[in-house]
Amino acid sequence: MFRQTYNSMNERLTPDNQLVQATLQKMEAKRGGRHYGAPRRRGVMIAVAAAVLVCASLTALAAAPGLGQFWESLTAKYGEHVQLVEPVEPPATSTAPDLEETQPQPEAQGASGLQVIAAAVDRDNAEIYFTLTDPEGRIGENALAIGELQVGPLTVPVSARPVFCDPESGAAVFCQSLYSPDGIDGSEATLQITGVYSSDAHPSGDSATFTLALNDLPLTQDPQTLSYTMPSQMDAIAQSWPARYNTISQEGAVTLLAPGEDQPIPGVEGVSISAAGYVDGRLHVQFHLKAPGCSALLQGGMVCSDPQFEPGSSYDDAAFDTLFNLSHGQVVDFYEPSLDKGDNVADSKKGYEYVEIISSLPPDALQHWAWDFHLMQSTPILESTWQQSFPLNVGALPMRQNAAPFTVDVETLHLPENPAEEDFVSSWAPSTFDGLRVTPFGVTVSRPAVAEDEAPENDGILKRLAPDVSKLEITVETAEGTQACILDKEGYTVLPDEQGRMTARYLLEKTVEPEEIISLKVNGVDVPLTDVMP
Amino acid sequence: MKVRRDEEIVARQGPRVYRLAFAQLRSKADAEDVFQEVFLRYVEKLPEFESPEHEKAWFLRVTLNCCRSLWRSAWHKRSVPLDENLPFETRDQWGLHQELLRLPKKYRAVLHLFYWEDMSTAEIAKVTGSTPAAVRKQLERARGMMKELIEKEGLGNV
Repeated sequence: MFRQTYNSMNERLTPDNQLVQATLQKMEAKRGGRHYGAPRRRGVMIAVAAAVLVCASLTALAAAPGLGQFWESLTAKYGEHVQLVEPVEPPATSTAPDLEETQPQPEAQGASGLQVIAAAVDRDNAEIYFTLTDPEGRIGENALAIGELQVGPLTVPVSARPVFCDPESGAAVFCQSLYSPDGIDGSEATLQITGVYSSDAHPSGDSATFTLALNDLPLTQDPQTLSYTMPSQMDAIAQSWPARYNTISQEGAVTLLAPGEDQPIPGVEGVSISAAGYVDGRLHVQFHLKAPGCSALLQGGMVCSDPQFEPGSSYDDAAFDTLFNLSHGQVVDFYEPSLDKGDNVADSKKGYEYVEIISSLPPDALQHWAWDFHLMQSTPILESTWQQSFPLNVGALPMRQNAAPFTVDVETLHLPENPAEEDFVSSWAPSTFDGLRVTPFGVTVSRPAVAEDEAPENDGILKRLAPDVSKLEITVETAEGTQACILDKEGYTVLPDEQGRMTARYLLEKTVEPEEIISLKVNGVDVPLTDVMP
Repeated sequence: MKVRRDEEIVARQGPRVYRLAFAQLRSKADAEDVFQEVFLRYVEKLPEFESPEHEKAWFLRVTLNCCRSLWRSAWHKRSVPLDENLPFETRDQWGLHQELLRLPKKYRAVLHLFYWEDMSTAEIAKVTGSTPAAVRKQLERARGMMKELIEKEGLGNV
């Protein structure tokens, strides 16, 4: 019966024609040289005068004709607002002897080794383009450049895939996004790439799947701990699950195990246990993803041999993990996967060195439990270190704002009492927004937070952390036609920001000059705009 | 000609990609994202397939990889989107969908490949990058968990 019901359910699932047509269009556009891929995550604002940039573009084109198609796509994406980056001293360096000794090929001149070629900044967001050139052609489209980016006091892991490859010169252009909650102040940035790996993970030999019996954990009595300050944005998001988060956090700080000596896991290469013990009554187990760029993907699941255990009813809500990068003493990621549901645990391709799993399993329950892991590893393509410092300029782009607050109806979906038998219920309510800003790259909408925003609704299986500000349909009309904006899924608040506002950013697929906007509509309501502001 | 070939490959593999993505993510919006990403990767790589089986395995594997990438994305950690327009008709279909949401993700994949794609454990192992023994173990666990969940929810016809 299961097969019959399952298959009858699948027969009803087909990609609709709209999806198919949109996909075909993107496939065709990609063949034409435009980069599509994942939706552009962040709006960017470029800071150098157009005339200078055009000259710089021409210079770059002459120096690196192999990248000509990439420059065309970049200028198509950003219009004339392209900032090219000139390296500052010290110049780009490499520890890869084979690359250092290689004379740049004429078509790759200016792009040998690591070369940051363009950057774009919009207050707190940036996209940084850089090239890595290997005349032997080892850097293909499946490459993944790993490293870190330092901008002022902020250090973030780098995990970038190529957006363009030139097979003749061996040059690959990578794009790395940057989000700095405190804003980007125009200071010098330093990009360090520590290796290039294949983005196609593969199972790690015999150790692809392994089971760790919790009774065999090398638990330490009164283990050493360290206190980490949670980044403010991450802390704000984590607070939307207070029942779990508050068990380990104290005013934005978390207590985690201090990494100790690696304890090997029998038969497993690439991952070891670096610390384990009970902290404040909760089980902490810390794994070390060894070997720089070992690119381990741990997919974990909890296995219980206790016949009394009912799935989903006991420790299901108790396990989550915290990922942190020890080399900088920072928590770089935090989320709440349920190991009982077999979630991904860690991916060192993203620069994580350690992962710590926290669970409320009491000591006397450990005998019944095991964690089931699936380990994937990526193949190193080039293991080396390149570094370059460059200016990350900040400037003003033309923009227009709303002339007055505006009110639109926004839809809310309600979970029915019995989802198996009833449809979702939709309701519409007016929302007033006093802030709207449109730049060449998108539209930002905001309003003051209200009491309800402090506690986003969470209804169990379906979490509705979608404030009204993130559910707007925005269109921009110019003489060339009407363009719909796309919500930047990483660019909106789920809780009020430090200014007590709810904000969402919507991106334009194609650059629009604000002065050329004829009309801007939000959920069908025409929003009058001011004149262009510098 | 290339566009024509795109249409053929999307028509041939699209339903398979979409269904596996939905089976993994249990979300129409996420399945649509993965659907597009898979075919854009196809355009990026333009793999040459040795056989129909090779083509099928490539699309299934890339779909699973794209699903994993989506799980890892910062946004997806924060929310599970609402799916208000799923085409399910019967109470059993809706109930099964709800129970599959509670099933560990890796078990969803093996169940789907086994029941819908009618693949052997050896074939599933190749696609998921696992071993036949591990797949058999996962299938056994998945069936056991589904049985418990279905009985608990009183979905007698499933």
